[in-house]
Amino acid sequence: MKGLHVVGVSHAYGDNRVLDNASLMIPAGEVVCLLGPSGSGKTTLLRLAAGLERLQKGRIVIDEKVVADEDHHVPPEHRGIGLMFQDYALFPHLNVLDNVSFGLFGQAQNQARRRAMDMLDQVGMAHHAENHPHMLSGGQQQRVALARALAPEPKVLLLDEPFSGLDTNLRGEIREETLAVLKASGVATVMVTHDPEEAMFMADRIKILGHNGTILQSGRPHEIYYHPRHEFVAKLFGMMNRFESVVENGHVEIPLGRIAAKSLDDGCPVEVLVRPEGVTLKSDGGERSGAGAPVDVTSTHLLGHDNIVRVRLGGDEDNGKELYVRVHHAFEPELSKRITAGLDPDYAFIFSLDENGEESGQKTLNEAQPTRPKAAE
Amino acid sequence: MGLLETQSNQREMMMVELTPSFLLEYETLDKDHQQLADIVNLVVKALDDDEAEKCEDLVAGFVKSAKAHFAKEEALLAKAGYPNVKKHQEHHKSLNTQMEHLLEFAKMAGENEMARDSLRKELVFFLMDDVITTDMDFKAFIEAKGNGGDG
Amino acid sequence: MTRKFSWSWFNVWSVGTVLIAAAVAAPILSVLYIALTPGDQIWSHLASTVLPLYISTTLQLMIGVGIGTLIIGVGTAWLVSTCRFPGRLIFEWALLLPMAMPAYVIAYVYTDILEYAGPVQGLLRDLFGWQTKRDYWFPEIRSLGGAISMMTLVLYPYVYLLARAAFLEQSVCVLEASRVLGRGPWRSFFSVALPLARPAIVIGVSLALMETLNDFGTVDFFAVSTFTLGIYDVWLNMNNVAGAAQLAGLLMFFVVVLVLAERFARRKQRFHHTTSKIKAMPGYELKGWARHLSTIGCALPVLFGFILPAAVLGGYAVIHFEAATDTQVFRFAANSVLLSALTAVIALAIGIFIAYGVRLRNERIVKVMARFVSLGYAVPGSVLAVGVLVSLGALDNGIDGFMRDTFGFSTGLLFSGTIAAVTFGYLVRFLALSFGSVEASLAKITPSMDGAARSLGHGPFRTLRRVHIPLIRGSALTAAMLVFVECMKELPMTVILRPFNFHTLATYVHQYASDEQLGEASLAALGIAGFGVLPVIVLSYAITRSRPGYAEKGQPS
Repeated sequence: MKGLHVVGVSHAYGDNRVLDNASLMIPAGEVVCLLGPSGSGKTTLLRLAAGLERLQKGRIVIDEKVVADEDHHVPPEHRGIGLMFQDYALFPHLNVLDNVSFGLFGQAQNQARRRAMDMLDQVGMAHHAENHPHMLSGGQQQRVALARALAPEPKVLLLDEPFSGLDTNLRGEIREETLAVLKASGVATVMVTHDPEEAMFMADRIKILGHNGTILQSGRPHEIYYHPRHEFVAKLFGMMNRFESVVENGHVEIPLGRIAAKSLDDGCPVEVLVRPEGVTLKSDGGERSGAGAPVDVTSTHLLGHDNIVRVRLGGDEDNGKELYVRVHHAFEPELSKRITAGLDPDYAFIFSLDENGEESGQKTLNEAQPTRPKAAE
Repeated sequence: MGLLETQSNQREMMMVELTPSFLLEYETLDKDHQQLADIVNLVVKALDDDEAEKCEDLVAGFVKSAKAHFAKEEALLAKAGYPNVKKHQEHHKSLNTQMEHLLEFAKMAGENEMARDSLRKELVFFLMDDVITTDMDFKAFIEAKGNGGDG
Repeated sequence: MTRKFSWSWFNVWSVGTVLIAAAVAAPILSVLYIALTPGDQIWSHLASTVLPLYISTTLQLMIGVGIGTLIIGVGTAWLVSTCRFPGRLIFEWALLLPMAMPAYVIAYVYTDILEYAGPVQGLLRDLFGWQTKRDYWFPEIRSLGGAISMMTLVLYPYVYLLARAAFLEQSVCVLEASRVLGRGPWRSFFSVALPLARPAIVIGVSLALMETLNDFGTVDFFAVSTFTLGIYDVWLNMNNVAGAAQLAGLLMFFVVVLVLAERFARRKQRFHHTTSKIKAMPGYELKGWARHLSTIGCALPVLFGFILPAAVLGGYAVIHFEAATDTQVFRFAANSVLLSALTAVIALAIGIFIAYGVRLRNERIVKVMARFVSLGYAVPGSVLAVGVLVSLGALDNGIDGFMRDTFGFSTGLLFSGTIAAVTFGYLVRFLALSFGSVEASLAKITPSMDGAARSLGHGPFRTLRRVHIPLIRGSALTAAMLVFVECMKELPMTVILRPFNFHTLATYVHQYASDEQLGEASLAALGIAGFGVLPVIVLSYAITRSRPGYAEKGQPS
């Protein structure tokens, strides 16, 4: 099947293990993001796929051809890959057109030029063909680098933090353009990033790599965000409100409400992570059936499209605990009214704190129980 | 490049094919995988032929077969003494959510274009990445056992 | 289905690097081998007779030159980089000029001026009415002290160059902090600037001392019994290769000490950059006598190290124009240029090959071997010359024996005493120059360039040709030029390795000047110095560019 197939790849630099039995499949036309902190081996995986690094263990297959295993190493120039670097790596001594036609050296010159101009046209850089890289802005360089990587029609495109060099204003725009170009070219794309938002935007599928180089979770962006299987994955997307509790009658109780804990046994100590947008604030709704907890608002921070509100729990237990809340409208607390914080269980995740793990003997802390939180009540 | 061209590209490429790198070289399991792949291709074909209403039954069958396959595989691995069998079991278990989503997509496929797109994509990833590629973890173990597993 | 292409292809670099490194290391290793092989009586004979003399003379020479270059180099560097006085901007580059003069050339010139029959003593005699040598005291130029002075005059720029760079790099902030904390300029210099610059200064002095050990022309002319001279004496006059090699091996000990000092200092140097911010130095505006003293202090080394000798040679060239423009001179000049150009081209090619090999294959063996290649520069020419002779002799004998056994005829000495031997010697010694600068400029190209080119379908060779070479062209040419100029000046190896009756400008100058016929050799000597100015121009260009504030306004301090 066409695309990039990485099977059981492990890699170490000396004693430092950066990849542990990583496998992935990227069909042609799809974008897969490798998301992880620095040192998680994501860039190594990219370099191994590109052939810039010699494979130690496992196998790499591109369009049904084995390009690397323990004995064989097809050099990068024979793999049919495209590569785009964080620093774009445009050749400073060549102009834009020559950069883009650099990979087309087997073709007749005018044919290569035509193809290069075509690509430049696609990324909207045709009018800069004669310029040298140093005359271009970061965003323009990024576009040229993309055109250059795609010009030879690679089977697999590897992107290493392709947007990290751009300032935030530009990033969104370029991201969108890049995605359109990628989808149009039908190439199998692997993108390495440490920015979860970027991965969510670009990816058909996200693969989360942990510190020790294992793949912690794979799935659609939606899956990763709403059904994190690891505490680590849940925390990738920023601040979380953390509670500790114990499973009772198949449920977990926290000050904000009750959540179903399907697959955990009663008595199991758990931690509950609630995304800031999972905390709901209601003014003057205090009389409703005990759901939620009274809170005091300590500060609000306007971010534009939404707000961060800090509130302090006022109950007996967890007295004084601060919560981060994200609300999608301007939030002006009416000081005279009581505010109640509730819970949207779609944004709350339960992980077992039981280190011994009754169910599986050798379970580590990180391998918490997958749960599908059900409606609280 | 036009939108039409793009889509036809994708269609052609989304057909699933178990080329050598996807084979465990253990006949029982490879057969299962092939059977699942056949269903995926039927779904893809149904989507391409504007017969999305067929998807619901097909995907239900797919999920049933997949679960049966997982059970068979776990039993086989346990019997063979595969050391990481627990881990693999948990992996299978963690796919439950995704299978639920597949069923939801299939149900909606008749009327919702986004559901059709997601179904096509997710089904392929689910089979090729989550099921088969992850099974490669124990390929070396099976090979070391030196058992072709015929029958 | 997988092409096994990669291994054989890639290994060109590994195997090539190892082979070249082995060839370059062969002379050094053969010297060490012979030196460590006991059994020859010559050794005990040497030890009981001349060896103590060689050791003490060499040590005195090194100490003298070390102190001399240290004082002149650091002093001028400090003045030029932190003070303001008339002529400062000129001295910044002019202080490098003496580098262009080989020590032996100014040795001939000063001998000519300062000896009994020379103009200075003649003038003194006329002025004071002295009649004979016994009437007055005048320092003997052809002495150890003379040799120290000559070498100091042309070698201090090594210390100057590195110390100046170090002073500039220690960002003004550090110095300003020191002054704000209540230390005056002098105390700031001794308590802050000097300690911070120490690693750079150690490197500079080590380089100057390596050159000192390398010198043959001066000590030969002045009859100062250093190790180098001893090697030549034992080899040329006593005709004893083994003895020469054993002396050379002992000399290597001095070199190893210097190399270790230099390496150690380099390692320390890395930790000395606290901030990378370089601000234009305000400079202490010197006043009164200090201004003039500074100007004079900087002018003297330039005057005695370059202007005066160049003027004297120029004068001689005019006076002895006919003799000096003998057709022979041009033939020798052509020899020099051809030999140097050939070496420069080969050294550059090998330098690029190895530096790129290290980049491609980040393997231990390749890296270690590449270090071997840089070893030659530290080893004195005399030692290398002996090593080249010994190893090429062995190779010749080997080939000869093989041909005689298999084909029944003798090939004789194929390489020994040929141009090839001289070129090989030059390569061993100067490869470090080209390799070093190619490696440094390759390091400035981000590895993602390689990745980009490779992923776009270019193999390692094509990538080198289309990406790296265009990008490093400037510094590669500079490297080739450095090698070229060093070869033009080279004397100690050429003297031993050259074919019979073959002269370069350097050997020609050496031979004529030793026979007190400086007039005839003046044009040739000027020629050598002229080529020597080339790298000074490049260096001073680099200095101007690196001058803080240059980029913004072109209006320094």
